[in-house]
Amino acid sequence: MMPEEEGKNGKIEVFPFIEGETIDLVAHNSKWAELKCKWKNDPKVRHYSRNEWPRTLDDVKKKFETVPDKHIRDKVDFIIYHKHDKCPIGNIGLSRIDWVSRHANIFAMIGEPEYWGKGIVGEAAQLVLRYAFTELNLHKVKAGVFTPNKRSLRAAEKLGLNKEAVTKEAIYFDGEYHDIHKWGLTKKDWLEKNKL
Amino acid sequence: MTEEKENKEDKIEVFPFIEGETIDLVAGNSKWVPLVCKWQNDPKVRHYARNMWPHTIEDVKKWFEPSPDRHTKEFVVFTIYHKRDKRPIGSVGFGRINWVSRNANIFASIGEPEYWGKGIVVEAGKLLIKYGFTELNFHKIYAGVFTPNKRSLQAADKLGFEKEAVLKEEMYVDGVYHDVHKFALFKRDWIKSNQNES
Repeated sequence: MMPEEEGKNGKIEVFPFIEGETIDLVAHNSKWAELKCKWKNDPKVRHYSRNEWPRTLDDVKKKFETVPDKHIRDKVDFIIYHKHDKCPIGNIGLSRIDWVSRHANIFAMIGEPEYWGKGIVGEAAQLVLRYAFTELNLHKVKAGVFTPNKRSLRAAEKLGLNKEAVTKEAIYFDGEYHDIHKWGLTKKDWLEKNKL
Repeated sequence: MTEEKENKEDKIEVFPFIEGETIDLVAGNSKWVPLVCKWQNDPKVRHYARNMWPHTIEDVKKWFEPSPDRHTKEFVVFTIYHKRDKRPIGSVGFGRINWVSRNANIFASIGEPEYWGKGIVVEAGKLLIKYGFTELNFHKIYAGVFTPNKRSLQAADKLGFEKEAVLKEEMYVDGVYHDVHKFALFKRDWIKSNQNES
């Protein structure tokens, strides 16, 4: 499946890895390095994605370098690609994958603010949860959200994650300390919630 | 941890990782490179361990170099250390570790033939299997043994492995094709048999 998509970024090859309705989760493409760099630095976006450091294009380009062929990874990162508008709008994935204890942290970011509040993280995260439990054979997926990030808190709830803990004053943000809400979901609970 | 005073090797520090009765499973030590090289090349030993290639000291040295992968490796190897005789006598470990499917191949080799037939592989195997299921969270451990290797076939049996398959004429050894017997042990069965024992 290698269509030549002409979108906001000119001719580009898009390789869907997991297909959704509004969006697909696709492999990274180094042609999107500038876009990703924009998202990482954009004050509106980095405010919630918690990026305190300026990222140069070189910093970002490094991340697109091919991973040496390891038999196992501790992080998986997808680009969220909008099917109708034919453009990448953010990224989502699993990090800190612990293969012995079989858990991972889920992270997500929509880099284009016009796509906020449209249920996109919800849709993308559903796809990632399914991938985590049925393809990677993980036992549990976890997430951390800090209090001012109301949209992410709602997303976590809608996804059926269980609130597990609140770590007080765990993150320094805009001159204040905020609590972090820790969420978790085991495979068993996910199967039940999805009636599988 | 334990300092060795007088013996076949110079002063050496041995770091037990899993302790047994007759043997401990210890971390490798680059001072044992010549020994391991001897085992790899020894015709009696390599016949069963299936090593067809001459190994140089340099080849073996590479295995003892620190690996960049701190966690989640594809294999894990221990040196079998004889407690009373205070010397390394072989290796045991897991290879082809598949972390998604949670299975791995178990391998063992006693490099000093005087220690064959003394139940050492069974003792080392028991320790390693417990480690595989309760520390590495494996679902299944498997092994392959070719027919002439009667001792290993016996060991697989004693360790509770079940015969899964026979691959016909799978291994060419000393001019003849031999069958390979595939064995498997599931965590759930291992737990059950452990409960029965205690």
